[in-house]
Amino acid sequence: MFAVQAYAVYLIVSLGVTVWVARMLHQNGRVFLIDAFQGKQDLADSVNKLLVVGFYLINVGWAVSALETSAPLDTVRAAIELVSSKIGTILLVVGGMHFLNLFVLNRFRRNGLERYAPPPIPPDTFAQLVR
Amino acid sequence: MRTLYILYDSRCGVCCQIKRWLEREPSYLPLRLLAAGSPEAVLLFPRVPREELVVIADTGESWFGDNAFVITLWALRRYRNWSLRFASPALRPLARRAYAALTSQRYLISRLLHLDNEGLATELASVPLPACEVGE
Repeated sequence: MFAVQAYAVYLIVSLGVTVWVARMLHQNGRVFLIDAFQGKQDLADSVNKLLVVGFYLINVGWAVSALETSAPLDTVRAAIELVSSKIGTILLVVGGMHFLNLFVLNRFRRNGLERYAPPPIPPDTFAQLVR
Repeated sequence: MRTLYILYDSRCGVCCQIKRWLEREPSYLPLRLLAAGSPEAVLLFPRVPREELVVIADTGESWFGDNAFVITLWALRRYRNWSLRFASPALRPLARRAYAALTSQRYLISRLLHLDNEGLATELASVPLPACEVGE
């Protein structure tokens, strides 16, 4: 009875949240990546876009495939409960993906910093090399 | 900085074991492992002490003892993060003590673990065998 309305609310909210989080990641992940790639902006932008594409694919894919229900939505209450529990699952998935993304960004950054790290201890002395 | 020369004590089995491990580990810059006191090491670095682990960059920067140990880790791809940790003020004293303990007992540890001793083997091999005297 309320199935179509419930689906509509579910899709709007879950896709809206996905888009919002993806834009957030896209905007704020850029700084991380530029730092990780030693200021190479085009490389950072490219990796950033690819990460966001992966994020969209997984989240939208999950949200769409979790849409279907066989519950008889006879009352408004049943519809609200179903939509709420489904949106809750989507939020948890998006949250998990978000932290995974942060982890990946930080991993990139740390590897980049490590790769170009100077010797951590100043030399004890300078040798004169015999050539 | 393009190359690191690492001078190790070839008379100690632990050191030789670590040297063989270093040769297998991927590193950020090429490592040249020289036995301290070997002809090549003496030729390149005549005034470097023989008793201690020494790391010398091709640009001249040199580190001794536990500093050299941290710099060696810094050169390794898989252990640079550990090197940065050991160099931090929190872990520096621990690294220093661990290195001191290991280095002062290195001959004992080598003997206990039955680690073979390249330096002694080369020294023995360099002694010419006495010529056989023809018996009567």
